[in-house]
Amino acid sequence: MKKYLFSVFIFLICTATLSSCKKFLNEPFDNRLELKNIEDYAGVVKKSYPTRFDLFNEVLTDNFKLVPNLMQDAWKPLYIPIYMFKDDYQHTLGYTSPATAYSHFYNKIYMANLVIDGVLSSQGGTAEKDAVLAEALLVRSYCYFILTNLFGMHYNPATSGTDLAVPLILEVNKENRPSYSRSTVKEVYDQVEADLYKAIEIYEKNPAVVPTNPYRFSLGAAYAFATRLNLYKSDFAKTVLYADKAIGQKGRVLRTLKTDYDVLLKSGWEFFAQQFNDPSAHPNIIMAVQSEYVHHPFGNNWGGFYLAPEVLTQIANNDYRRSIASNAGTVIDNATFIIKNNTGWQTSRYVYFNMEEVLLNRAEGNLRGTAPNPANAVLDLEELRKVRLINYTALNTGAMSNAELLTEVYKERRVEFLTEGLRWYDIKRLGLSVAHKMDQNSSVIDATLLPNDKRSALQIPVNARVGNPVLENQLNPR
Amino acid sequence: MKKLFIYTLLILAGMSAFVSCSKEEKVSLEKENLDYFAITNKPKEKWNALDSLCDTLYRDYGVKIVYEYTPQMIRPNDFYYPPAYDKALAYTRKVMKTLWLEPLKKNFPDYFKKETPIEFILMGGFYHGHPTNTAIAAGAGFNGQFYRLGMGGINNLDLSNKAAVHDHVVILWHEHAHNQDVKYGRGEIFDRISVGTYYKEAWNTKTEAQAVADGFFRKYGGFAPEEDFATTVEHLTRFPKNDVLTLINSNEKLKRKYNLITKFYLDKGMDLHKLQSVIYDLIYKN
Repeated sequence: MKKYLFSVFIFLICTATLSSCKKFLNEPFDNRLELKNIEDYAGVVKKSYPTRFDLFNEVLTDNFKLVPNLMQDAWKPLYIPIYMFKDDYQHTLGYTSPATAYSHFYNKIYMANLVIDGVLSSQGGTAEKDAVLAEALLVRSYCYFILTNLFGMHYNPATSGTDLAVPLILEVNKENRPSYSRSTVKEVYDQVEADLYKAIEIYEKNPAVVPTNPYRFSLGAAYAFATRLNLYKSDFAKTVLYADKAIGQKGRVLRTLKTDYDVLLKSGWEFFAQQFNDPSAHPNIIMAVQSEYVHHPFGNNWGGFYLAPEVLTQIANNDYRRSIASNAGTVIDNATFIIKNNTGWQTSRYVYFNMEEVLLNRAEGNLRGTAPNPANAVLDLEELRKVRLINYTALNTGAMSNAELLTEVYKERRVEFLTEGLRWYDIKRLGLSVAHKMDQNSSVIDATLLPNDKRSALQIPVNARVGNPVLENQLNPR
Repeated sequence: MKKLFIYTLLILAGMSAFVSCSKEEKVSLEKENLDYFAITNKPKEKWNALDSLCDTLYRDYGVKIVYEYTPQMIRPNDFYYPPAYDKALAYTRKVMKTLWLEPLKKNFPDYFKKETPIEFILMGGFYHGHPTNTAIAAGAGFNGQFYRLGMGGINNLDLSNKAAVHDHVVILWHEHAHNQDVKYGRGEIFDRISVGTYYKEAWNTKTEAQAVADGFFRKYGGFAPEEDFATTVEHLTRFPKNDVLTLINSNEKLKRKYNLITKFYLDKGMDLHKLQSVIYDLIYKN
């Protein structure tokens, strides 16, 4: 009897143990979300927008000088080598750098690829699925555009077929540890264009489902992106075409800097800096990102990089853009910085695209195209000057050649986009040289970047080379 | 057996106590005196007249006056360097003792007790000078730390020139205002008065009249809030009360700054108008 009871007991235990696992095994082991519905994919694509981790590039430009005694010590091993155009910097620091940009943009590309791979087979309406696909294509396109412009030479039709850019990864990895080799600048630009134009086509076909949120790619933002892409490719007809389309979407509305200045007078720097890139108060901002604080080395009084004397001389005394500058240190340090973002350690807001860029892209396109249209360029240029200058007076453009007008456009670009991360790409595409000094009182120039310098293609970071040895044989030449 | 055990234990304990001590290295105090200025601490038998005077001032007022130190390179073109001995001796007697510490202790005992820096550095040239080019005067004082004050240009200060001495003492109070600012903070309300209207690096392109119209006591005060605070204190220390009151009644911003700063100082036991009259009388009526 005892044996019988024992056998029954064992039988019951086994039944309970083995059958109870069945339902448990049906669940994902870590409760991860399975992407099934269109809402799931839409959620992923919203999370795939990158932070402006390319903003460190301001340190490489001629906009800034180094003032080491006004620099957080922890940042010196990172930003001083970058300022000296060196490849070896302290990449393990988590602050904005080529290393953080590289891994961050690829993380976002992974998410975009996840959506591109699966969204069309998810459950949901066709138009909605297409819109999510388009948004993911735009994110991927933007990420590759930034990556190739950071780590490759600037797009040059004569050499882009051989110039190396970054590995082109267009699918979610299904292998154990794949290695990737670098694609050429042409291949990456072709992919960027293909993704962008496909997305624009989808958006134009289904305007009702296109995002209008200024923190996501709207149709206007896609056009603004296309304007920049074509300007960088020196395709000026398309630059103007897409600028027209962006303005058609958003209207030619520029930031009235006086309004921001009035906020400063009324409420002080803190609130001014918080609201400066708020798209709800600034319709000129076509697309923005609210993210962690990434403008460490500039735009605050402990970053170490302050406006170079040459750039300060380009901001006239009656320019409101001078009013949003502040000083660090003492009068002897002569250190000026521009405040456009929150200067505390909280989250901050950064601009991807704004109407000022679209307008200046169009002005440049109108001056450099095969059929120049200086009259239209002047209109755009003056439109911006009207909302930047106190007691605005028009330029005497009647007496100016196209080359002189272009110089004015470039001057405006430099001043308008200070601390916004665009100058470095202008230096690359226009073949400008940059001279950096360690000691501003000295006449010695410590590092010079020549036009089309090989170092303008930043080196593939160490964190990318670890575990992907193929890249070791494909480093940028020095 | 028990006794043997206790003896063994005692021997072992004694051995471990003595042996363990022998490994301890002598603590080196060499770096104790390292400072930004590498100040020389002279033995008493080598003292000169100035050392004795400094010692007396230290005992009377608790301020260590430093006149001997290694010239210090701040940046490739910026030096601190000590004053000439004769100049430093005369300066210490006249400015340090007669014009700064003595009247301060006598007229403002509470403020003296709480707010007087414990070190004062004498500099031959100016903050931004160069040993071979002492004429450059881009900075007068030294106010980097709130316990330490300093003044430059001592080699070139003509102590018989009353106007120059008056200006120097007023600037000393300007530099001390920076210390007070660092120590207590001038506050957000002060910063709000002229927010967004500072001249920054263009301060030198303005006229003094323009600066006053814009709400700054001096055009240099238009550089940044820090200098705005210090130049306000400087103005109150330089000009008689009636002149100051006339000026502040011409401009709302000046009046607000005046009100904030007089209160800031009065709360700590310092009447800046009284200070002005004390300094003026000592220099011009003696």
